[in-house]
Amino acid sequence: MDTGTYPDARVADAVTQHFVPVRVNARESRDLVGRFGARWTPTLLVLDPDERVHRRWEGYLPPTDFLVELRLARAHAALDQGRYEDAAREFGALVREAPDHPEAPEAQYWLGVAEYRRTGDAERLRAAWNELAAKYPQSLWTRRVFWLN
Amino acid sequence: MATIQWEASYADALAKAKREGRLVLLDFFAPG
Repeated sequence: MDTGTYPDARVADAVTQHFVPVRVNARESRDLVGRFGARWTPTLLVLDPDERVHRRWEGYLPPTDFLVELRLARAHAALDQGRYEDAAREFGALVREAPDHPEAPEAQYWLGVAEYRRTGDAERLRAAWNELAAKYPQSLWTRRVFWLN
Repeated sequence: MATIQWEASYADALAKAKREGRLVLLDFFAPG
């Protein structure tokens, strides 16, 4: 992370703009390791000031994938906090900007949820999930929607 | 070009996030 991902200008910009970053030595901070179940390093968590976790991942990621995780984290935080318009914008941006990324189907799935929560219109959910199935027919996220069909 | 400025402690990060209305990025690492 120190030699490839964190020095990347795009990563540094995204972290600086949207997050308060902190590193914890997993060998010394046993209380935090236990509290968050950090059984491996690196473990990354995105949480709010009330310590509600909105996203976590383990393992090293190159800059492009790390940026996708950061964006998903922000989108999920917005969804969890009831900021549905923000959530829809973030999920939608990820799908538009990185449609071939392995996490794009997840973003498309939650885009439907955010749109439904934002508008109360089930047709928005259906439309987003139909698009999910059309674009990513082999994805596990598509199976979550259409496994009965 | 921005460089990541890490907070000194988890408690500091939580306090700053609360003040600024931001999310905390918490990285558990093992040195060496």
